Amino acid sequence: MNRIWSQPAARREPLPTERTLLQGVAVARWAGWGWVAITTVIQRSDLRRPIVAYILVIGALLLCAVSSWMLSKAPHWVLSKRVAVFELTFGALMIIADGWVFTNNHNFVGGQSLSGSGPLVAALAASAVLGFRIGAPLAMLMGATRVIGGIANGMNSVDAWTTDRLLSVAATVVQFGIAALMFGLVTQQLRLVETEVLTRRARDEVASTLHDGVLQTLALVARRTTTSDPELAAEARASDRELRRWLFHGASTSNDRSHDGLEAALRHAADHVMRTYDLHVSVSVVTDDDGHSPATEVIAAIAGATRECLTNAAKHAEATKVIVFSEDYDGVVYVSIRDDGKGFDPSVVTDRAGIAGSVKRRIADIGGRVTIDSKPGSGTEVQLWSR
Amino acid sequence: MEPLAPPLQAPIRVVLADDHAVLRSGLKVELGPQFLVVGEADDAEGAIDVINARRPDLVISDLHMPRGGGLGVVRACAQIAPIVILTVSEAERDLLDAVSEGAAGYLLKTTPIDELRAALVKAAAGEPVFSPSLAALVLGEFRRMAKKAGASPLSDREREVLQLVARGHSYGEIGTQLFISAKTAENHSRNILGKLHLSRRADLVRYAVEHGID
Repeated sequence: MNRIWSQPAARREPLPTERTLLQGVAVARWAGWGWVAITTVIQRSDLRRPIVAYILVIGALLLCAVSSWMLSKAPHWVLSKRVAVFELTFGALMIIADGWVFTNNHNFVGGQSLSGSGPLVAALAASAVLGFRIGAPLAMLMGATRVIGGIANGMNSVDAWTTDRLLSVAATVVQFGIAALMFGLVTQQLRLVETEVLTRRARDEVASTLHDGVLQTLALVARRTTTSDPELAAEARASDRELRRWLFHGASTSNDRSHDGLEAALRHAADHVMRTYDLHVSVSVVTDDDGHSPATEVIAAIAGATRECLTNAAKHAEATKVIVFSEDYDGVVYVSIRDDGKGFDPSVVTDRAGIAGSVKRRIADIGGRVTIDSKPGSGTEVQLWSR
Repeated sequence: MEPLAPPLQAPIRVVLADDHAVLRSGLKVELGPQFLVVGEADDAEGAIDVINARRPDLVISDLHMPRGGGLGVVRACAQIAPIVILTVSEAERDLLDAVSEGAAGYLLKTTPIDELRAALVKAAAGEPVFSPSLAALVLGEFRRMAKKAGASPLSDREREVLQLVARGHSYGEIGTQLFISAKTAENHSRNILGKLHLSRRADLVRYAVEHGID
């Protein structure tokens, strides 16, 4: 238990959906304990200790009032673990008191109890706040206190605990557990979704701001300094690229994981080469939106071969720009890597360093093929097919 | 490498539309003597007025501008002069919207100035300025359409041309590869853009009908 509240509670305001859910819980709390108040008055002839019962019922209604007040005035308290544990404890207390204030056997046969669905609401609220991993077991523990309630009612001997009574307790435990589990899960998912939505919205806002300011300036710097200060221009382009990737691709790649594999691997290869050499690489990937991703080893071989080609373009061909284009069609991955370098004559240079060794071997390993087109003075295009 | 267009007798008359004054003044200097800026505007409505009044050979417009944006300019003036969108945006929707509305080209502001000049000269001559990454996007868009409609609006030849543009080939190189003239390759590109325009229009109409919008 200590673990739950030993850390300083992070003061967090509830998210909009979370608040709506908690408002729902507040209504359920009034309904649950209100019903208990009504039935207690109706069944007053069954009460052994009416004063205690009335005090407890008033306490329950007070709890509802305080919770509702907290939700509107100090919402971060509603999310506090102490409050959640307190409500669970109160629920347990009412379950135990149920056996003590009513006449014999009231809490197992007939009639409405002093606890009713009040503790169920406590289980929901606690699970939303503590998470279902802690909330559900605690809710079940609370349900199990019906045994203590039974003892307080006079069931002191083992014989008093008939199968019916044990089953009844077990049913309560299971119900509380399931309710807490489901509600905790739903709350957790909603919280995740909502956080994601808020992050996106923040990103969009940042994007539109940067768009009009920083990106424009970077573009200007890059263009103005192309000849006067190539290093600064390269720096500006690199920053522009990074910012752009984050703004325009960040959201889509985190969202669409099906094509993450190939596209991410190719972009990664391009980034790696761009960091090492003064080379501009543009990568475009066209895919079907059917979620079929090529096998991991195919992606690895293709990306590795592409990286070799890019390194080659920078190191040997003296290229400044490379266009990488990829398309996957009927399960075949196709990649074209085209540079603006000095090119070579394939009939003379049959085994140019890099291409023959690493590119062809990698692609041959996955059963694909490679073609190389080049002419002195007009660049080189390497084309890869995975099959 | 393809030879550049021969130097023209008269400079190309250009209208610049961008809400950043610094960018406009910078670009004016960088464009050099081959171009003559005959009008400037800092929003879409202003640009439309200036284009109608000056009838330029070429319009260079930003995408994100007040009062209508670059798309507004393209919609209103695509028939008057070729419009090249010069922007920092690389968002797919922006690219496809601009092109399908009839923009002659789409260039990023980070494009080195010599490349920019070459592309603008081509655009002024009526050649579609199709960057490889834009061609790849268009290719993807047609694939999505083909999947939805069951058949691609593109012919096999058009698809081939589009793929070669996406791989970074010039119209001249495409012509040589496909045994057609550079002009034919260029015409294929123009048709592709036309089909994109039509298909996206048809999509909108279909959407409107399905969703009961009159």
